[in-house]
Amino acid sequence: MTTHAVDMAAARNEIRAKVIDLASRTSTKKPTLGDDDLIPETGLLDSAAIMELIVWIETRFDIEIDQSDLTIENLGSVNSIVQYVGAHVRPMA
Amino acid sequence: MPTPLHTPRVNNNDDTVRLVKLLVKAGDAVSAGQLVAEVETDKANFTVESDRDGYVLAVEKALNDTIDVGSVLLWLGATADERVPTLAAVGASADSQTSPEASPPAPTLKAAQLLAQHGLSASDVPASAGRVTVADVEAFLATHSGGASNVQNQSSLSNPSNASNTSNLAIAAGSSEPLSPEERGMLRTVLWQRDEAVPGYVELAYDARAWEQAATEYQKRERLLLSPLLALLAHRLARVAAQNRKLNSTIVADRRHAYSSVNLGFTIQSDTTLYLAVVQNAAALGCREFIERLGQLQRGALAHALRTPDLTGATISFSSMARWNVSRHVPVLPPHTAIIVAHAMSRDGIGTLGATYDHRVLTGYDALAAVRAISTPEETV
Repeated sequence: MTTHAVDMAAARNEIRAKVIDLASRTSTKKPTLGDDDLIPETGLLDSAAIMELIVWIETRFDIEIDQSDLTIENLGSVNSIVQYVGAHVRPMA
Repeated sequence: MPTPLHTPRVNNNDDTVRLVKLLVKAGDAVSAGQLVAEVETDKANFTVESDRDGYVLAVEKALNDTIDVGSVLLWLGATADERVPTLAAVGASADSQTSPEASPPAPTLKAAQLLAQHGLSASDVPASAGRVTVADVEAFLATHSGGASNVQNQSSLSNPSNASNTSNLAIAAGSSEPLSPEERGMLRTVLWQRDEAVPGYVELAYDARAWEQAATEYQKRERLLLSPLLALLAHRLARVAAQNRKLNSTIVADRRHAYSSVNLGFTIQSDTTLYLAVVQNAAALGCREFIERLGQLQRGALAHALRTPDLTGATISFSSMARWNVSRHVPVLPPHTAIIVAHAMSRDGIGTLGATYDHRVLTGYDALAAVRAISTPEETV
């Protein structure tokens, strides 16, 4: 776990914005996404874009995501990503 | 016997690297896999490992040198007191698999034609880069009597800029600028195809729904975050290549060289850099292992953090441009491979699988049979 504190509310907004940004690169329509929507099932991101999202999460929050953690349960939605990140950093009090 | 440790190619787009860290010095004992140096490109740093146990006899490069990929970085010996050969005597090569005491390196196809034209043999001409090239022959002829005028028309074989010089086309006014490392690397790759391989291309329309369904079921069953479609296709290619040695071969000195393992190259676009990441011994991996290994490589490429073994030794390759809605692409063969399979977008359930192949190694029928085998998923997926 990293020692720096992370504002999880801001993190949620950043993560959602990042997904939308990645989706915008390949979509002609303005993408919409609920925090509980399963990202792979929305079709917003292809595999390469999801991989880009994973690398971004690692860099942005300074965490390492094990390859075996790349599951729907851990990182399938904005909410699950926030939960995963929260478990690997020190949430800001 | 002294053995050279060559400067590795870290990706197709860089043919020089900078030596940023030396971790050993002459006289040091090293073991196989031990880090001996660190090099950097414009994009990332990479470590260089010793490929054997032994002693460092000499380090040929200095810190912060910009050095050619394939040049001798350092010499290793079984004992610390072996004498280091002079580079002029042995050449400095990434491609050469021969020891300093072995027979002269084989000429490239077009160099062999030029040698024959002038009644020379490969042993007459010093190789500058592991194999005798047209440029080597031309240099030899230029410094020996006669010949210079005879080779004038051959110049375009080795140097694309010469090709434009000798053409009748007028070049409009403009400025000249050097190529970037990525552009030089790509030039080098396409020149291998032009100068060495005899490329052909086959294409097959196939029912993409079977693969999409298999990938969806696999993803749900394994609870994967990412669609495994491309990984499963690439893994299928590796397994097909393992069953057909011709696919996993190349031509070396007019003989077929069948690789002992299937190392699958997979193209990954990261920003403006195109990597050919390599899953070593891919056919020996199970589906899930392969998917995870490829995933690690994709993440490494996106972070520009791939290591030398991740980028070297491809014996067969796979490329997809489906995510950009490309309906057909004809990829260039990575050096020393016989086939690269090209995956493109599908429409109304019909997809396209193509393959660029080296006609010296494979017939069109061979390539088509491989593509056809890949076009349907295995029942065990």
